[in-house]
Amino acid sequence: MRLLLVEDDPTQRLPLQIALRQAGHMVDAVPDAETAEGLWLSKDYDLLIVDWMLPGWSGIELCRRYRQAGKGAPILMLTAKDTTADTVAGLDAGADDYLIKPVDVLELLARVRALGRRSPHWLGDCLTVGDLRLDLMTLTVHYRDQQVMLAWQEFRLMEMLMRQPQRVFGREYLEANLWEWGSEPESNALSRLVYRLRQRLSPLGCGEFIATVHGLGYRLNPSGLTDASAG
Amino acid sequence: MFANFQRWHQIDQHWVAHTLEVLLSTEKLNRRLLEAEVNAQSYGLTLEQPYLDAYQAAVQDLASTQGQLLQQVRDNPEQYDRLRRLEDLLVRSIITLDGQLLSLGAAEAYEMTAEELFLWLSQARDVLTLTRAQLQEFAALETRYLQERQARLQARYRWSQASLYLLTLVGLTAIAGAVVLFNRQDQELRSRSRQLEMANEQLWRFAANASHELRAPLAAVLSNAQVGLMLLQSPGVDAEAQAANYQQSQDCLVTVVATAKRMSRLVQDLLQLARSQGGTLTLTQTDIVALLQQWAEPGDPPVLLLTLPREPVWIKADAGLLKQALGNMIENAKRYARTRVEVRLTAAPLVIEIQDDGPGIDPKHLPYIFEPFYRVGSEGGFGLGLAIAKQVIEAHGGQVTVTSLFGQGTTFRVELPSSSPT
Repeated sequence: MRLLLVEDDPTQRLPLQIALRQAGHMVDAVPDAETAEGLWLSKDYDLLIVDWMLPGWSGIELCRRYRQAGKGAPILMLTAKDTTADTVAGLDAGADDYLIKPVDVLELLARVRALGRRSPHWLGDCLTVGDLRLDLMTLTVHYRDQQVMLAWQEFRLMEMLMRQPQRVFGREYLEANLWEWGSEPESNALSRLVYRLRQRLSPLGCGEFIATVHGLGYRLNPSGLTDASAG
Repeated sequence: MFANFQRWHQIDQHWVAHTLEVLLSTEKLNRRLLEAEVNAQSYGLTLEQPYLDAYQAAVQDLASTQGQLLQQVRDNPEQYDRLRRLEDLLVRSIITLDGQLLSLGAAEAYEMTAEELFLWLSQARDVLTLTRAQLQEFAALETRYLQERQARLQARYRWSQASLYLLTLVGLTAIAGAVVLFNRQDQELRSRSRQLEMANEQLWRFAANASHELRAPLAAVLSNAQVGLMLLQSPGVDAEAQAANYQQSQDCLVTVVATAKRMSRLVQDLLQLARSQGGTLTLTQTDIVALLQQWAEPGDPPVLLLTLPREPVWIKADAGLLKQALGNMIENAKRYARTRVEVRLTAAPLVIEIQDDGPGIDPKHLPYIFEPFYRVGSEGGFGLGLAIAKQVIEAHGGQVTVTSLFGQGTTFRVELPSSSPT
């Protein structure tokens, strides 16, 4: 999933970003609501994780503005406020879930998965194309009797390709959606990522499934899959 | 008291009425005597029976009036005696008149010459005049009694009236006092209630802020520790990923340590705040000049300029707490100062001014800067320094105020009660 994390305290923001990233999510982590708004206007997110007490607009105000912008992705509020009145105010403003700090990271990841399952794009904890199976929980690719674990960015690329196996993904689109906010990809970064993914998959005998469409971008190789499933 | 007034008043009234009755009877006696004399003389002149009848009626009435009067003045021995003597005179008068009348033959009167008639008529004059004089004396005395008693009645009446006025005045004053007291109490209650509300609001803000300030670092500690562990346990897809995981886990643990240290300082500050609020001070004679000179060392800018009296300035203080309070304020000033912080001490009254040439404080922040956890900017501490300073200074019976010109700097003014050295 592509997540937007809004938290002003870097000592809290960074570990959450790492944990979510390790769980296979793309995380745009920003320190304030104003920056967050700039991002959601240009990108689609599957989930927002928002601290209540932010400099400038509060998390509550962010929720209202996000909903007013016609965005429907679920919002998970993180806050040190712990009264029932606070919870009600947060949920009324448009939040879908509510976690009180200090947040147990494992619980946060479970909540994120739970909210992800409510997404219209949710297709289960596994994506399957032919004999190729991607476990979204463990970031592992299964092919026939073999399996290999992917690094989070490789996993993100694999997930995108497998969600829409017929689609050719342009380089720009991939660059925009595989690199988090604040980390600009170098010119050959995408090529290197694709190379790494192919290398990771080659022991399974499916390195060539990631096909280059010259002049356009990349796609999952249907012929390779057909061959593989046929074989 | 009012019952007494009423009783005395009734007694006085009774005496006045009684004296009036005596006077009336005396007047009646006087008149009867006159009637008797006039009728006797008229009979002597005319020998007509109606005069004689009227004379006899007057004499009779005179006797009964005399008896009545004796009854009335029985309580006054002096007047009683006087009346007894008067009675003798009266009897003598009547006897004289009777004798006069008896001495008249039926036709004798007609034969009396004017001279004889005059003589006859004046036979009773002496005794009658004496009687009348006595009677007048008696009446005069009674009149004096009446005046005295009336005066007493009036005096008592005036006095009771005055008392009544006084009581009414006292009552009204009491009512007014009660109203004023009620008002004052009401105002005090309102002001107490306002103070409570404000304290409550402040406490609520403190609780909310404390909750945030304590939970935020706790959240950082927990998430960094968990993620650090997670990264260490994560197999990592390759050596490069493992190295990256290792590095990140290390970063997380460094954050845990730094945050825990920060939390420790926060806890220390909070304990300090609690101690300065509720704890007992260990008061000793402290020289504030010496205390302030501890900051006199030359250092990096902003420069700290101390203006202190040459003589020691003594105060009964908890030196440790006071040093902490002044230190907090000086550190605060140094944090915002552009080039310098000036600390001025005057001995009488004991005032310490800490002035910086920083950007000044936005007026909207000014009312809150002494509240725990209130921070004007986002940099630095927990927002407890000034709160602690204020608590400590107030615990010493002093007060701290702040004036700030936006763009020109801020001055904190500390007033403390001074004490002479023992």
